[in-house]
Amino acid sequence: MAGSKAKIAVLRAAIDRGVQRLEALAPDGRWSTFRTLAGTSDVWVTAFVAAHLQTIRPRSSRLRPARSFLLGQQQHDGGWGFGHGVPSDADSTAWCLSILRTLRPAPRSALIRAEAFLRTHQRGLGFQTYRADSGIREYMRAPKELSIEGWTSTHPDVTAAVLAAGPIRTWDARLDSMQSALIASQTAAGLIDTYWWRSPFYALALTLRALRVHRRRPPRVFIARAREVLDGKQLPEGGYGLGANLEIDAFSTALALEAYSHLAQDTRRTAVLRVADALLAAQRPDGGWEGAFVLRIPAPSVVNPKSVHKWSAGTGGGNAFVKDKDGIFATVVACGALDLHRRVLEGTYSGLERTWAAVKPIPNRQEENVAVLAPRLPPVSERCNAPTSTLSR
Amino acid sequence: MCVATIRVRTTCTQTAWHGGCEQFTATCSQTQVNQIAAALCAIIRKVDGCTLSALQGLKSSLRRASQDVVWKCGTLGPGVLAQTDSIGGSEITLAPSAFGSTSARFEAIVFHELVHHAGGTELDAEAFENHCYAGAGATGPTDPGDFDSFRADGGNFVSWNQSSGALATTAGDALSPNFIDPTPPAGGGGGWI
Repeated sequence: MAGSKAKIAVLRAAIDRGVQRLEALAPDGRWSTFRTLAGTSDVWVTAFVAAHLQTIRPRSSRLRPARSFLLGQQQHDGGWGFGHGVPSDADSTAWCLSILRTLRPAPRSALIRAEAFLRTHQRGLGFQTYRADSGIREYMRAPKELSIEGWTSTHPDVTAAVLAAGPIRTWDARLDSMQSALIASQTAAGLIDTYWWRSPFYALALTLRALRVHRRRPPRVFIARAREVLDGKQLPEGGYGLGANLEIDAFSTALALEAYSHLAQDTRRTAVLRVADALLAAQRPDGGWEGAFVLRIPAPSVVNPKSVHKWSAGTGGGNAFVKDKDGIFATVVACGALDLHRRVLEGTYSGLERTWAAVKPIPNRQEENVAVLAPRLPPVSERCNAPTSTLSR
Repeated sequence: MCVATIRVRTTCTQTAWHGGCEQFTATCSQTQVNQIAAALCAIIRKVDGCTLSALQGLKSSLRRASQDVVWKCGTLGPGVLAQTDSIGGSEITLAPSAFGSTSARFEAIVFHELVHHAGGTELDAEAFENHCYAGAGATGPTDPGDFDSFRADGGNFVSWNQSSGALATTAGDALSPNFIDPTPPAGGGGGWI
């Protein structure tokens, strides 16, 4: 227990220094990073940071001005955007909703309008980032013939952020189905693909966070696959890299630690402790964590980011990676993950409870425009005697 | 039979007066269905004989492909033989040029796309294709764009040492191909980080 107490003290100290760094970066409660052709984000970034800080340090002096700033940025349609003057989107609105719900007295009108805005972004069992009539085309001065199908499609990373923002009136009937769809989008690799993020763990961690918010438990196979990918992608030093890079990326490592903490009945495992140690070791002397090119902006027409072969770095335009300058996202997510890990070690957080209702699998829907056809192959003996190469050497 | 049926995308080939569809036609011919099913059978045999440890999710996904994947036969961009709709996506389009390949090459093409269907990145798909079909249908990554993808996305099932080109599964089993990066990032630290 003495070891645990010492560890918890180390975690607390690291979180304190991280929060101080965040507060130093925004004396007025407005954080900004991610420079793009639409400018550097302040609205979305402030909402994201404040929503996390509210959980880590609810008495931070920066939260009051942050909430005031955000309240003043709500647009006529009830949503919030990437930055001042940029049309509203579902992701920014979800983070704003998340932080403004903690304001007392509650800004009822603003919250109701925000929920209504989000409802209009629901497509099937997911959420699109932008609606086609959001004004984003006009904002970009994109010609009519240019497709913006990519940005107006539903995205698992946005869906998870919206669900993690908490319940929204009139959703109850579809909430289970939306969670089931997110769960079902886990690939055999154990991850959930993202549209806007390079880190493989973003949508996984946010999905687990959303399940926690709604007190739902994922199926065993989901947990097993998630653990397999978390264990498998861990670097020898305990952290996680970005892309093929074998050096630690703080943002990815923090998201992995958060995912482990949600999944955990066994968070004292060596693998988990090594993630936390790697994250602690990556903290800079100024208390922050290094930011990387974690955000990606596919061109508006790109529905499948996998189809993009050439990404640029730092241009801020379509098909570009964008840097988390000053490490703001890395720092706030690292503080949040370390805080969650601390609570696990203290025994005050136990992840997704086994006693909660399991997410129900989506019933097999009759897919349209699909025919089930039988092959007419030669007899098995002819086929199986054909020479084939072997899978292993 | 190892593959009893496969699922094929259909398109409307006859529209009714009211605008609805009167006749749907499968995008793949019977010959193409046969080719896909034969490739899937061969892939299942490979998976059953695979000695690489772990990778349970990938192996299970490859075995279930006939039930989970919707196949579409149609044209793609110039030089593109096959395409999966997204990482983890369940629709795979095969171009006529893929069907015109040798059966070994066709199997490798299908296998490559199935790795994407399982959640694999370009690095994963190329690594396993070249491990499993070396000298028997695999084509190595030669396009500089492939290496851009390798660097940007890394692997979900494999790790890649950019300095040496060595590949291994995330469980630590070495894979046979060696992908030497033609333009490694300066300092070996990944230029985008």
